[in-house]
Amino acid sequence: MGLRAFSRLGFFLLSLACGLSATRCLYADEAPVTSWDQKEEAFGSAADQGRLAWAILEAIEQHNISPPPRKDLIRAITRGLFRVPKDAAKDFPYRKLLERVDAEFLECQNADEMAHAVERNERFNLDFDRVVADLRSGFGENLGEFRLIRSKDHDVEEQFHGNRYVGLGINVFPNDPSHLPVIMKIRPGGPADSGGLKPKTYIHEIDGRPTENVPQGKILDWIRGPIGTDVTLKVSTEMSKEQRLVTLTRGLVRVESLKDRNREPISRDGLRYDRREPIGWISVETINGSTLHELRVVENQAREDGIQVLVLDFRGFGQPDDFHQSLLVADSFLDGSPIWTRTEASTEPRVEYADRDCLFRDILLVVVVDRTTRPSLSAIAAALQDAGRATLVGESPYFMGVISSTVRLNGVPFSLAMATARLDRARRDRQWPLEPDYSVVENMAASANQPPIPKGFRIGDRMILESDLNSKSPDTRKMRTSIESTKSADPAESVQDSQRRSNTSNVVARESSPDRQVPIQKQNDVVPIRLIPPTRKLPIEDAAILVAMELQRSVPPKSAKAVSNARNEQNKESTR
Amino acid sequence: MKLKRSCKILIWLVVIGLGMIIGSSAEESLAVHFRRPVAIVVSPDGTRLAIANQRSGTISLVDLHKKKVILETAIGKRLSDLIVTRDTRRLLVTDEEAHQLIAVSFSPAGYEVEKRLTVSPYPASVRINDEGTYAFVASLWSRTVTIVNLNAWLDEGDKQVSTMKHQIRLPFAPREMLVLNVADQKTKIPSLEIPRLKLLVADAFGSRLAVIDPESGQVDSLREIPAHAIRGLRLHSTKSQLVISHQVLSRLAQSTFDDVHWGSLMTNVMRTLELSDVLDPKADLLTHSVLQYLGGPDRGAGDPAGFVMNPNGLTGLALSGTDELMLLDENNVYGGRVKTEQYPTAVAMGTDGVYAYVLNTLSDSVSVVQLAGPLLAGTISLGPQPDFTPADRGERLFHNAKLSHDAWFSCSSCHVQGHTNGLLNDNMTDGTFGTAKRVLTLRGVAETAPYSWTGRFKTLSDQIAHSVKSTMQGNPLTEEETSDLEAYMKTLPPPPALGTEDKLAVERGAAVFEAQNCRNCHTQPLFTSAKILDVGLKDERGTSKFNPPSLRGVSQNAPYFHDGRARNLEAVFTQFRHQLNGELSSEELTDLVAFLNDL
Repeated sequence: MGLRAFSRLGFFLLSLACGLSATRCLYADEAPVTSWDQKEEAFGSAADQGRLAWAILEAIEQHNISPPPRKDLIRAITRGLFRVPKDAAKDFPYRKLLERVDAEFLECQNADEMAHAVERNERFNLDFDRVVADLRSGFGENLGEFRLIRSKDHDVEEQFHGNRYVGLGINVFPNDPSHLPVIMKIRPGGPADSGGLKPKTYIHEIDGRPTENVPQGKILDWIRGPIGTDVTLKVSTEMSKEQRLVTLTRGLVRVESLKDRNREPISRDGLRYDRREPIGWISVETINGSTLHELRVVENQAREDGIQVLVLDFRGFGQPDDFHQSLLVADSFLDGSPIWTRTEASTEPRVEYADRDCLFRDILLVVVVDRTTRPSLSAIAAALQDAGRATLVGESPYFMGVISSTVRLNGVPFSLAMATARLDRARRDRQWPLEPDYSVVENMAASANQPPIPKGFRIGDRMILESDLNSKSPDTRKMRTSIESTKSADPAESVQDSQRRSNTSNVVARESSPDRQVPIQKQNDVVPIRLIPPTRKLPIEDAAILVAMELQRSVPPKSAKAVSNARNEQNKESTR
Repeated sequence: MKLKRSCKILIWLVVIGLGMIIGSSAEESLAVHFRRPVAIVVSPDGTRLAIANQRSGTISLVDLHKKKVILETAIGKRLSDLIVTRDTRRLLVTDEEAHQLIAVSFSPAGYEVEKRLTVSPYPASVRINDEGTYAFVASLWSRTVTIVNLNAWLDEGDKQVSTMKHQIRLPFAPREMLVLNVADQKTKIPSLEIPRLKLLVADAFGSRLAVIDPESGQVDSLREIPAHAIRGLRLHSTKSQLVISHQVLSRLAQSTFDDVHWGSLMTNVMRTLELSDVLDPKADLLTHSVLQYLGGPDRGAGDPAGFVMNPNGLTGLALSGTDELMLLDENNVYGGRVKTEQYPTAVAMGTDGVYAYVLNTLSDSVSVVQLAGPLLAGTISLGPQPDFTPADRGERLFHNAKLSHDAWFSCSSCHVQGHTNGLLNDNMTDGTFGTAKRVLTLRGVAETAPYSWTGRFKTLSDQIAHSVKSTMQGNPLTEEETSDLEAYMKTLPPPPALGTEDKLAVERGAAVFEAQNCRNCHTQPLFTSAKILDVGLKDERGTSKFNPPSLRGVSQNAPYFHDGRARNLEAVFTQFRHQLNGELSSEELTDLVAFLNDL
């Protein structure tokens, strides 16, 4: 279990490092808050470090869902203090040391005593990375997403949670050969846009500090600051090498948490995945303060557009999200039913119920999940599944019911992110990880000596073949066309995507293309197979659309009753 | 039809036209007083407005050509509503202090009281059916709808028929009402026997709707919707839908900047329900409910109140918290806002369907708004106001949504009319989130320090300053504003007791109260104390020490306890055995509840 959580974290960090999916451009303004790096920025005296250590201990004991015994916590902290190797206890030279540590630290009762104890051992410097790593490896599953962050980064995180980030509205690419940060994208209407900056601008200095070879964390640090304050950049562009100074005022940068199918801002006519079908597609990039508001706007749009089935794509990474907002979003989809049972450090297990009002009331929902689906979204998906509100398609997310949040530490300018709540599902007979209603199976690796694979894919126990689709009613034929048209029109299938494809896959793709003309194949002859192209992403999307189409066929024709009191004044009145 | 209409107009002209003669002398000599106009009607010929003034107990007659008041007549103590009878010969007015329904006709001397009928205490609104045979009076604190046989009362023609047809008790305090003619309705409900007339009654504070059958006097259905402060009820022009203006307070959202800013905590809405669902007692009201969210981040639409719809489907909605009239088209799409004066609560539609007349309750004025546009066409003053006392200024702040961040809500959003919406709100007054507490009434709050559930605030002004800054996420108040608000709140009397007929039961109940030592914490005369006590109830974060709320008017404060876990007073003792030192017999329970209902 612990390993799984850890690998999830590793995967998460790796994906961040890789700049996420190829289709998505990460704004500097969207870059998640990073953990505190002690090597970058040291903190205080030995006594201060002792107080920090104590504050960590106190926060874990107060807020963690199942805190380890205090002794274990102090030992983990002092191992960091003395930089003792992990399995040192077996090692004779360390045993003496650990005994001494036990004697000096285990009896500490408050921050001052801990501060003194560290001071007495001043020649050592507390290695908080070690502390965190030790705690994580020792109590990983219970600690959740365990990291130490500076208070000012926590402030930024809270800005993300409220969708009120303060910055310049730029995307900074850190790994340019020039060793300078490069502005790749400018958010329309943001301070940088108003200041006349253009993409492909090199930043040489920020407020007089040279930026060459400075790590991105530091660059973000310098760019971020209180609202209304100025930041002066020395910039040059590819066109004119001449360096000039630009002064920008930090302002609110709002980022939509809902995007369209191509992960672009939702336009007035961007809801339908295909013009001919009453099926909409919304990608939920993150859950923050504005998500509920955005969903209300989308609801009006969906109703106006006659959407009957809405696909909610819960895949992918975005800004850090806020579990409280997940509760509100889950509530907004449900009509009075239990959402989940939440247990926090200081509370009894408590069933949280949704209000009776519910968005998308007459619209069927399909939720797409996979291994990249984040905890907050996995929790919502589970709640919708348990209430029978949505049909889930895709792969099981890693989420195991542990909710992390960031807690301010007492008396030190740091916060600690850790597991603070556990969720049990509304349906008591269901466990974590959640199982999609239609799991789209990752297929066996194709190889050159395998026979050509007929087109189609498997959803759960069912195999769906293109040939099947051909053989049925005109409706299903329409389905097929729709699937094909999305494939060809899908910009998500970027150059990099196709580059990532292995040669064998390409062979399969070519070989199977004549199949389109091949007459109907009997279902019995069919083996589980994947759709072309064989990236994992596309079968899931196609499966979701297929499920949506089947659901849509079950929708009775609209009654004469005009339900559409559509559109929203908010569209016009407050477009942020 | 046309003839009938012109007849009506003619009669109206005779009835109120005389006002012009008197008016010419009256207009110069309007009294200096606070009027607090609360109800407005347009004459059938569209040339005049009749307005009921709550604080002055007067009716103002406005000439729309001259754009001024031509007459103001005192007819009662504290008026709460007015309408025109179907024959257009009279006005029916409710007086919430004299507890009367008043029939007013016109004479050369001005408005003249023709008849007074004592109705259930605290009448708040009056409606009549299309035929003009019944008047329906909703009485707020006595939670009663009185159905009056108008012909029997006014014409006294048929002595066989009693004046009072029915007095119907409701489990909530009613205010807004809507007469429904089932015959109008396009969709037929198979399960419904074909009754001609139904009366929809809405909760003044909380979330309940009742449908009453006026013929039988029975309550057909009693249902809840996620709503409070229901202040407008109308039929959609299609006649098959019901439109309601109200607010929604989320139980799960918290009073953080983000939840207030993005409209997660409090939303102002127009809700559309299918009339067939409303009329079918078995139907789920919300199955076809459609919500239109008003306002948005950066510009809230605090406290939607009365609204009108013109024949083209244009809606003019008063935003009483932001001092605006909001225009919505036939699909409820936002069409703009017009600035009015302070606290617009009621709107009347001109007979031409072009102009709407907005009653500015705290400015004693009428804003004339051209709906298409919308454009402000003019403002008519109802007369001079005296200088404001601190309480008067406080009243204006109390109803002003600008006290909250982005004008999403005002004090009166949760404390409707200074009382409570009975809902839970998760704010930091108790020091923690995740512990939603029931909104407390502010009525009778002057003498019940300390404040908040945990008794955290020693003075009312501390509580006020905290609520505005934290719960409403507004700008900090100046000291003067805080003390003005405090002065206003201290003028609010405790909620009147629901009362009971059985005075003997009340006496016996007093003995039970004594025997159970209730007065240890709920000490007379205010039936509270300054103590902070653990009575075995815990909130979600383990807080168990609360300040006992005052029991004056406790009958009006349901649900009970910090999280509203007891639906009624009976449940406080049967289900939760609140501080009982022994078994209560069912007689003792009945008596104790009678005693509490009488406080």
